[in-house]
Amino acid sequence: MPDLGLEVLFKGKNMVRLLGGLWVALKISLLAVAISFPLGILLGALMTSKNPVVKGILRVYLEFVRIMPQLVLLFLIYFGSTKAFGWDLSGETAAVIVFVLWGTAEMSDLVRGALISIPIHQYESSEALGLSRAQTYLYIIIPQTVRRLVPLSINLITRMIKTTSLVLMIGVVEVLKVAQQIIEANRMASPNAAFGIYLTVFVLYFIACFPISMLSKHLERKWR
Amino acid sequence: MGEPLLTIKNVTKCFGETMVLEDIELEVRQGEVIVLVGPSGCGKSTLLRCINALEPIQGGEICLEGEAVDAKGKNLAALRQKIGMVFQSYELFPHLTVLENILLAPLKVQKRKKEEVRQEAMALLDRVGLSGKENSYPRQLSGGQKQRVAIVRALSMHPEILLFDEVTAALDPEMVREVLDVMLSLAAQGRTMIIVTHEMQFARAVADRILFLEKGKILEDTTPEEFFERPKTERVKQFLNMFAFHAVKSPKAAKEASGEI
Repeated sequence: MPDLGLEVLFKGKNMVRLLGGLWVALKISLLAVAISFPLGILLGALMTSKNPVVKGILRVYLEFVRIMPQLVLLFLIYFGSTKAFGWDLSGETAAVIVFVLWGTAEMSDLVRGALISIPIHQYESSEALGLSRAQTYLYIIIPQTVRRLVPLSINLITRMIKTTSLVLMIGVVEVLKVAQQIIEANRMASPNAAFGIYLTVFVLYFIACFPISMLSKHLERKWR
Repeated sequence: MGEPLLTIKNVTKCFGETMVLEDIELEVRQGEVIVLVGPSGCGKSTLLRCINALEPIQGGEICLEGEAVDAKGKNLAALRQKIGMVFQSYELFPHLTVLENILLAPLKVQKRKKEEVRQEAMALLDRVGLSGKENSYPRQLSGGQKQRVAIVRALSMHPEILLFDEVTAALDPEMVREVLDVMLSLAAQGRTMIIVTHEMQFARAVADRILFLEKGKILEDTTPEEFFERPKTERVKQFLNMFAFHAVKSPKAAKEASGEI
């Protein structure tokens, strides 16, 4: 068995530090999810509006955020906007802002897609039964939209968690950065630690994302 | 005969520049079964959709029991409860079970008691041969079963009038029959119905009056016997010949279609 340097994990508080790093990653992504999902639902509903100006603005926003690599967005907010506007942002705050911008754009597109995928006849048959517009949304359209939306949005959550590995580039000490620090600190004592530590990081991401991904699979099966 | 249940006066409907219904006049009495036939694109489905204001009209008036059906009217929801509609593609709500599909409107719109509505729904399901299916989801049913559920869903609102928009057009032949049988029994009960269909033999069996529409106008408004045996216009003869033509390979079917049997 090759030396994976796993013993480094048990030196000092290394394991606790790694878990702390994971917590930072989860905090950023889940906070961003909590803010961007309601915003995304709102914008997604607005995207189906008939107003060409509203639609145009939202389209530009969506394409802009989507085309831009998340790393560039992070740099733009953390290094760019702080210089340009002279405000003071911590790395974590900048990360949350970027993830909210990105998550809102992605979520709104999912909501828009789910809404327009409901056939017009569903509205008509509901109204033909005498349901009001509000009742049609409450009992027919929203439940169907949510069923289409939940598996997709859960995938988005796992994507957001994984993408937090980029925020080390703006100086946020999350799980991957902690791993690098541990490896650096033990370069002499355990030169092989890189493999073992990164493997641990992999497992930690997996533990964080797997239950969420299972939930999505389960809901997909349940609602088909 | 009292007042007509449904009155359609000078109704005009346009999609942009194209006129799809022109000056339609029609009175439907309680218990009457009207069948609308005509070539595709003649406006039959549009006329049905105008009757419960799924399509706004540009001129004229549609009145149910003296009240105007208006797409912008305040009591539209109340009027629509009196107008049951069944669509070609069933349009059951896929996230609800058969029973939930049926109960939704009576409970939420009419605020009736759940137990009463449920019992009635079960009895209706039984009548259309679907007892035991109440907890199935629409995706678990065949097309014919879905369409029968859709009919029960419309009936559960106790409508004054039922509109059927090519309800068998999307069905396999053997399922067409089960749906048409349900409609025949509704007609036998004295329900007021307006039916758009391409099933000519069924039209003949079920109708009190047959209306032939072409290019948005009513060309003939007559009894089934007159319509099939002594059509007044060349256009109707030509139209009926199309069905005879389709059936020439089987002599019996050809005779039926041309009205000899």
